[in-house]
Amino acid sequence: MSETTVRHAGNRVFIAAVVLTCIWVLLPIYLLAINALSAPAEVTGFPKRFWPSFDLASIQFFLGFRGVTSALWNSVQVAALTMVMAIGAGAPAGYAIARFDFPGKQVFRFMVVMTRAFPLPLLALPLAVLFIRVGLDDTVIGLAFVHTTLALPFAVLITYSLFSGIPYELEEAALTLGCNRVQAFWKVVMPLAAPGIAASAVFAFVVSWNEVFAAAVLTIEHRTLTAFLLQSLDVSPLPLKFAGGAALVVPALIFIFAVRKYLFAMWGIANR
Amino acid sequence: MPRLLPYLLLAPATAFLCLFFLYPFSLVAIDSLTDRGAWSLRNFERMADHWKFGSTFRNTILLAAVVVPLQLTLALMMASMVSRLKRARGAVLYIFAIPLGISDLAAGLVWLAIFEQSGFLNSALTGLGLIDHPQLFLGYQSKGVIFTAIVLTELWRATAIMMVILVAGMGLIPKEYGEAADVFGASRWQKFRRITLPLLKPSLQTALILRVIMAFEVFAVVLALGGTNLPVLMSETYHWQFTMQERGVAAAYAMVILGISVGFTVLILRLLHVPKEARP
Amino acid sequence: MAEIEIKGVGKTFGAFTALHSIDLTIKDQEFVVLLGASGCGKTTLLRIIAGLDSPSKGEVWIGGRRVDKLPPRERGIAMVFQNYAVFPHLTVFENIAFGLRMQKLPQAEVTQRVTRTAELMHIEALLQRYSGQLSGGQRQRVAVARALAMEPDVILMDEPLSNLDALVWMPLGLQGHFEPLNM
Repeated sequence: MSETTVRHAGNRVFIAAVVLTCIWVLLPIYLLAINALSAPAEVTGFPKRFWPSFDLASIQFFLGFRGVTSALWNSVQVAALTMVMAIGAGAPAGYAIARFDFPGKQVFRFMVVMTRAFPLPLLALPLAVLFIRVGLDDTVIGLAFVHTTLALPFAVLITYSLFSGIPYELEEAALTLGCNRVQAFWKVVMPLAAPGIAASAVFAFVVSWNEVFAAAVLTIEHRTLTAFLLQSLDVSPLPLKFAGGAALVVPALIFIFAVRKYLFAMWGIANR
Repeated sequence: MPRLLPYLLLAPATAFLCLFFLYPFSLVAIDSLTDRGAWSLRNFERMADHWKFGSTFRNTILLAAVVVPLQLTLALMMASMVSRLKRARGAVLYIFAIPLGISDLAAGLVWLAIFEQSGFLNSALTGLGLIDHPQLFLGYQSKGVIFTAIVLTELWRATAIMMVILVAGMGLIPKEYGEAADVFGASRWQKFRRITLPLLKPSLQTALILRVIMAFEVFAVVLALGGTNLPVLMSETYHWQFTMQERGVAAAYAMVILGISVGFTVLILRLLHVPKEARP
Repeated sequence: MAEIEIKGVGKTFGAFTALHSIDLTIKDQEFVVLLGASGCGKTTLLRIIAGLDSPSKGEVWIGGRRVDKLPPRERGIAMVFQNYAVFPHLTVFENIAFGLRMQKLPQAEVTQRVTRTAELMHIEALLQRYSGQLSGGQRQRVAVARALAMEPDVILMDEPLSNLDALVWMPLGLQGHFEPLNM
């Protein structure tokens, strides 16, 4: 074989490997979609067909099931609150460690990085008791506090890298052109950082939307969708599980698509 | 710059982490070490004496030991693929990254659709004539199959996060190093082994720490696929807290998870340590 | 149109002394160039005059007014930065108009001043472009135009000769129209 033939063969193997890996990722999602888009009788029937019948009865059954719509609404509320709190507290901190040198900076960074070595959902255990004492038990805001703890370190590190990427000189230029510090931030830094901040907000939303353990521990009446699905795993019929699974996956697909440009900016900084 | 400004900016995040991170963790520690108001190791004794503890601990460690190395290999392969791609790089990256947004519960349900008795695996196998009638894959007698299904689900779900960290890390390695290696006649494999891998150490460190801790937190995937047939540390914690209403024992379990998480973090930091002088 | 007086200005960063004690008077309409080896404190002095750094000791006076406690926006200065600091999210037009808009000038006046300075710096064809679409020399000319449009008492330029392209244009424009300026 000549060298070019070897190279061609190598390329073909490479492309095949890429295609296979893509199928490995996409096929399970497709199979879940078949179940979600078929009638309940087909979902429990055997053997399965490998294409959906586009019957919305499973979805209707899921949405009509007792507790589902309120669980969906709770999930959205908790995730939205988490998003606001994580960015509200995280972005100023990210800005401070990106722009200023001050005593105590390393201590703060250490605390943020240390959260990674801790299984954070376990926080829900002591907080379950604490929340009863202060009247936050089984509330949307109580759970959002725990989810914010999960999302906050990411928000700090992501916004830190965003603000570090915007030269301080730009802010100084605004200062010499008649801005005060606040105006310089809003007119120069914000427009440049906004897309990235939006991406990290979306990321915080997803963290909360997907969280299972703390949600299951902290909510009883006001369950989120994950907690609802988890607690009814043994008893719920298959069509409900799969439609519920699809309801969890679809927003995740959209979110990851929305932030795809920032995934690497987010994780590139994870090394420092 | 006003001297107080940075502290003012840090205040909300610091307050939050103290109130909802440091304080609750100290509470868990105290809960686990007290019994009816007095210091005692009774919670740990009750945890360890329970007949399920041994298999719970073993299952968790075994899962991590099987999943993480496989996952690291797969993530490195996917990252290398992405960095070698010229066309369709964005699309492939997006597809590879999709599981990043999928929760462990949703992933468990996705793979349940494949492994359950009337699921797609049985349908495919009967369709191909390999079996006569559908098998019960996830029954309590077939723990091996449940274990395999969980491994596959974890591989499918959580490889993306390692892959993304590694791709980001590979992006930070200057191209000249690889080109220099080319000039000295290194093969593709030698380049990967001698240049990419050593320079990737900081990213490997991050990816491994994150992933190992996630492995000890495995919870919803196990419940979705195995129910209570394959107990793990996190599901037992939940069980003691909720069904048994024994918060002390649940806290002891939490301390075990915390202990192995911190232990492995330190171990990984040690093993993949890059001396300061050798950093780019 | 102002005189700059620097009286005993010193600056220390921790244990490091960047400026010992500088006394300097720059007359109205004078053009002064600070020369020196890199790291000798030229930029530090400029930043202290601009108000981006505060002196550890000494006073800065501009036009008979003591300014060393004032924020940059109240000093009547404009500055061209070493890396130009052209805002990447704004067009060239909006970059030049930035300071004028901060002064809340009427739109007609903004347009007129931007057009005038853009013509002066020969960048009138670039007004709708973004920073990312400009060469280094063009970017420097935008930065200079942005400073000139402010019609400040003092223009400070950090490393103005770092780009030959701009060097060609600048004296031409300045001689004709902006003689009464401190540089």
